[in-house]
Amino acid sequence: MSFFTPQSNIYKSDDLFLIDVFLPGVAPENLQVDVKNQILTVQASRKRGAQELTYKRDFRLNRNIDADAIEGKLENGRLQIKLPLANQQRKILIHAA
Amino acid sequence: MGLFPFHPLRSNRFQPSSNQITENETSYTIELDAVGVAPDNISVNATENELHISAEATSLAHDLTLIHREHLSTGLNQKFRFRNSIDADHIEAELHNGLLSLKVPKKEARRIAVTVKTQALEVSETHETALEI
Repeated sequence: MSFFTPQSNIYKSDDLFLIDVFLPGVAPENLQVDVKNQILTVQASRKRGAQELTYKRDFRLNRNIDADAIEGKLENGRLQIKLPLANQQRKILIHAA
Repeated sequence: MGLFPFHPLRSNRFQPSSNQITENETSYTIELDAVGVAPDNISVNATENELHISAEATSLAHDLTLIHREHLSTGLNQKFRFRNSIDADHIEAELHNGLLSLKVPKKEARRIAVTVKTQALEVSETHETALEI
């Protein structure tokens, strides 16, 4: 089965990565975004007449990304995914004996 | 592995654009990627057999550092020339979820009346040829 690979632009700041995935014609209810084993998967579909078109793309995530804090927003065909970086430094709590 | 944290995995058939033009007996249908384009920024100009669609993309840029670009986000600037004359007054356009769809009706072909002048044919005696086998 053939599918379209949606064009994507990637941005970065000190705290996060941001991916714009371009999905023209896609409504929010036909979009699915999953993260598993450091891979972010975007799957979407839309109708073209009687035909159903599929968009699909995988992104391998850098291990500094906090997978639990990933959030996305789809508006007018643009999916914006924010991927915050995990705090580099973690405070380690030492229990008194 | 360098600064690029993402490794977009490629499909076997990398098809980045779903823009399409189709044609049937009565009309052309055009679908264009118009993500980032506001409806009031689109202008569609049509003549007898040409269509010009232009639109500015409102800023899709971020304050962040761009590290990988695939979508140019330059808006639209497309010209189409059609084999058939088009009915410019009845073009339908719709912008939905960042997809611009246009239905461009063909102008009905003018019926040209053709008359055939008949000519009287002269008939002469027929000659029968006997076939010998």
